[in-house]
Order: sequence, then C-alpha cells, then structure tokens
Amino acid sequence: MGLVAVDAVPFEDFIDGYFPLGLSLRQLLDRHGFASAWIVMRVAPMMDIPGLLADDPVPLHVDPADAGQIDWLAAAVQKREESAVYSGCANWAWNDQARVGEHTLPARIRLAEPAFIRGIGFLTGAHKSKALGAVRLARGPSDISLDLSTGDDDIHAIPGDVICDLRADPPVTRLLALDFPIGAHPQGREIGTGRETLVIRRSNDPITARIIADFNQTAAT
Amino acid sequence: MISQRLNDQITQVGPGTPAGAVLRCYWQPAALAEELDTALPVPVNLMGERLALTRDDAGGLMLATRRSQNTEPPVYHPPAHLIEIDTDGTIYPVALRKGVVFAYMGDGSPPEFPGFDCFRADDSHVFAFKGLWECNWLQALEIGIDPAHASFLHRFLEDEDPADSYGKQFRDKVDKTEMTITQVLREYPRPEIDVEETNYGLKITALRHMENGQTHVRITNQIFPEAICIPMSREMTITQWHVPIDDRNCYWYTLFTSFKDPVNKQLMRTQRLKEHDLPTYAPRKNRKNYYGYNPREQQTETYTGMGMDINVHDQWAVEGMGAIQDRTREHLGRSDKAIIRYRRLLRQAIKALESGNRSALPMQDADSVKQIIGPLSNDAVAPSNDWSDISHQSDVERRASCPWDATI
Repeated sequence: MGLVAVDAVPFEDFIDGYFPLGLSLRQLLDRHGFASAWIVMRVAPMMDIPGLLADDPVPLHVDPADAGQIDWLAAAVQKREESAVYSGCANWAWNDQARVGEHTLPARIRLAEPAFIRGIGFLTGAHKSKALGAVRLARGPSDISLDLSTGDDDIHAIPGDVICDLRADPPVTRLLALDFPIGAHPQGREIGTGRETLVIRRSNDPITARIIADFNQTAAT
Repeated sequence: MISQRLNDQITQVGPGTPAGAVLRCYWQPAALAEELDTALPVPVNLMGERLALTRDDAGGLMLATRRSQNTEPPVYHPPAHLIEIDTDGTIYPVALRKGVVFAYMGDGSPPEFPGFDCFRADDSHVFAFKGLWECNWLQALEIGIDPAHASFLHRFLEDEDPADSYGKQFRDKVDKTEMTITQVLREYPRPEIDVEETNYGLKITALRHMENGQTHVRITNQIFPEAICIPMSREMTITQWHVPIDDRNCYWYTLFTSFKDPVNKQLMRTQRLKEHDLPTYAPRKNRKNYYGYNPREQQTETYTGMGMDINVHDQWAVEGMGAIQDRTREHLGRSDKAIIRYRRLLRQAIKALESGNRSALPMQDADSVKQIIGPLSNDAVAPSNDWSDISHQSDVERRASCPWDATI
C-alpha cells in the first residue's frame, strides 16, 4: 500500500511503575482506547528481579543488583492477551556490571517509578501493520502516516519528516539495544523480518512538537 | 523505589556531585540581607561548603571560603571574631535581590536573573525570610510541588476568619467567593493534577471539582532547579527556594510578594520570629519537642495536631522521612505526577551537563532568561468547562490593579 495516512492521536500520559512494563503499557492503551501506540520514554528507573512472577507484588525495596535506568526507549506497543508486547529501540544501563553488553531488555522488567511518556496512539481498523496491529486509515488529512508495504525495500527517507524507523519483530516481545550515531537514524541488528516506517509530519500541534523533540533528543544521545 | 545509586545521584550536592553541578548553574540564596546588619564576616554554610560573607578590598560584598573544622555541626554559626577567611580558598560572586543575598558557585559567568514577580516588585512589596529544615533539599522541594497533600497534612477542621489571615497560608478566601482555601482543601480532597513543562520548570494545576459545574483551580509552579512559586492569598504569592546546607540539612528561603498593598514587614517578621531562633533561624517546634504535637488539638482543630502554622506540618513531614529520604523503599502513586515530571527534568539536566551541554538546562540563555516573567500563581473558582480562561483572567485583573509594574 505504501505510505498511508492513519487515524492516530498524539498523547502524553503517565504509566505506573511496579507492574511488569507490558501491563503498565496495556493499562495505558486501555485508558485511551488505543489498539496500539508508539511511545517515547526518557530517564526512567527500572528493575529486573529474578524469580519474580508477573502476578507477584513488587517487593518493599529494590536490591541494587536488580536496578538500572532506561536512558531512553522508543517502541511500538500492541495489546497481547491481557498485557501488551512492545518492540523497538532503547538505551539503558544496569547497576550490575556483569550485564554490560546485553542487547535485550527482558520482558519481565518493571519500572521502579511511574514514568511520563509521550507517543502516538492508533485506533483499531482493518489495515494490518507489523508493529502496530490493525490500524484505521484516516478519513481526512493526518499528520501521521504508516508505510504499510511488506518486503525488505530500503526506506526512502522523506527529508525532514521521517523521525523513526521501526524494526517490527513479530511475534516476540523483545527490545533491541541499538547504538545511535549522532545525527543518524537508528541502525541495529536485524532480528525480525521486514521493516515499517512511521512518519510524523511536523505540525503546529504542541504535543506532536514535544514528541518530535523528545525523540530527537534520544537520537542525539 | 529507585536504587541507592540513583538516589545518591539526585540528592547529593557537594562539590563534584551530579545534582550539585546542576544547582551550581544557578544563583542560590546564601543569606538574608538582615543578617548583614551584624558584624561581618557572616558565616554561610552552603552546598557542603563552609563560607562567609565579607567585604573585598573595594568594599563590595563577596562570599569567601572560611577555615573550618570537620567536626563543625552543619549549622555552625560562629560570631564574626571567630571567623577566619581562607585567603587561598574560592571566592564566589554575590548579588543582593529583594532582601536575599544570592551566590553563584558555578563555572563561568553567572546567569542572568529571570524577571519573576518577586524580583520585579517594588522593595516595599516583597518580604524575605528563611528557616532551617533538618533534611535533604530534594524531599523539601518535593513536598512543595505536590498539590494533593495539602488536603490532608494542612487540613483545618474549622476555618479561621479571613480578616485574621494576613501572612498565613491558606486562610484567605478564594477570589470572588466566600470560601476559604482551608474549606476547599478539606471538602474536595482529590485533585485532578495536570503538569506542564515551561521555560522555567513546571506549571502545576490542581483541579478540585465541586458541585454545580464549578471547579477550584490552584496554579503552582516549580522553578528549576529547586524553587516553587505558589499562591498565599488573593494578594500575595510565595517564591521559595530549598537550598542545601549539605546533604542532610537545608534552608527554605521565601520571598513573599504582594500585588496590592505594601507588605507589613514588621508583622510578617514578628510572626516568624515567634517560631524561629536567631542567628540560625532554627524552628522552635522540632523533632525534640514533637513539633508541638497536641492530641486534643488533633481531635478538633487540625489533622496533624501540630498547630496552625502549615510550615510546621511540612517540616514534620519532610524531616520525618529521615535526613535523606530512602527512595529504595518509596512507592509513588498517580498523584505524584509533579514529582515524577520534576525528577525527569532533574535527571535530564544531570545528563545534559555530564555531556557538556549546559545550554540544554532551563533558564541558561542570557537573552531569553531576562524575558521570563510571572509566573501565574493563583486560586480561582470557575465553571468546569472554562477554568483555564478564568484563572488567567483572574491573574490579569490582579496584575492590572497592581501598584508596581506586574504586566505580562
């Protein structure tokens, strides 16, 4: 289909800490009535507690060995059963130096504090995307477009507009650790098939402007 | 519940610390001007350093390093004749503004002062005071940016006559109503909180939805890095800094700014000197005397039983967490939005500074910082579907009738 305008809503919100991140993101989607979303999060403390089941309550305090901080995260989020799955790119650090060099964030991570996030929410429709589920085409002009083409063609950058390159990786919940050369688009190890482009056109909408500023900050670090 | 390492990152402020480096990019209150009425030098304990205000060779005021012992208590206030300046030590520039001596302890040239109301007002319309809190600066700031606690910590079971409310927080009526703020806070304890980033920090809006399609709107502000600007009454605002003495003690410095009549400085000072000892400005109600706790008062008058001064309530709450709040055991909730946004700002600032990008911090551009004015800080009751415009209109009206130039 190529690049199509989709029904999408820029938003800002907080997600709870202490639950598995997928659950916190699912609550976000449900709160807004979104089927899926692309989010950007910055400087968020997190924890990875071995042996803690998804249904277990968060402990009273966090062991330093299990703590870390997400420097930034940009991910596509979809509902999956009673939780959510997410895939995208991030930069993070654990206190535990033995984890330096890990390229995957475990799906079981929990935020150690509630986090403020910005993003684009997508409404349920009939057009299947890879990273964002079934989306709805916009009935009129929209600042948000998705390239819904399949295959591995190179992205044709639209100067000044393309700000994120989603590496869709269905069906696994996984995040890639990517190194961002300053000024370049994200490049990383391919672990999925196909790619998808989210285009957010610069507009007068203040939330959209802040989303773009946030993401550009992540790309610069 | 963050790790100890992350807690250290945002609480420690001595030389060479990440948060300390951020705070040093800004002017910091060092003393009240009234403290200079005694003989110089005057001791100043600030950001983990032992300093003193004294005169340079040209007679100008400067903040110099003083010789000290490691065993000195945090709030050590020796008389002038016992202070010895370390002639090899660092000297920091100072600036006197509205009754407060500010110091700049950072690198390079000091930033410009923003054009906030507390700095623009005539001297007759600003009163400065300070007080000691025996806790880390960050938990002191965070209570100031949380709009939800006021409905509980500062709950008054009966309302005072607003005619007796001069100089007292929350006792005045909401503009154009007969309700006191204490009544609003008591009867509508679950605010909807909105937080917006600004060019000076954060604008925090607390909406208390009332009957008949009305909403109480309270606008407060976080001024980066460690100040707040909040309404005190229909006429006055409070701009308050939470300045580290060291990692375990801080001073609150407040500028009370009036938009109507000149401040009755004598009355304000008298009220506050009843509660504080000189020369350290240590509060008379403190941990040793249980903050004046009275169980009978708690039964019938106040939520805390700790008297009518809301500053004591806050002091108990922040000191009660311990010298440095153990955030490895903290669980933030949905009403902690302002705290969450503030910590994001602080962590981003730390990261930017570590990357050598000081210009990314709020209010660092010399040309634009002078243009930062206000901020809007008031209480209003408005139709629920029009609260933003009403709040703004109330602010415009107050500024239009202000005897000094408060236009924005």
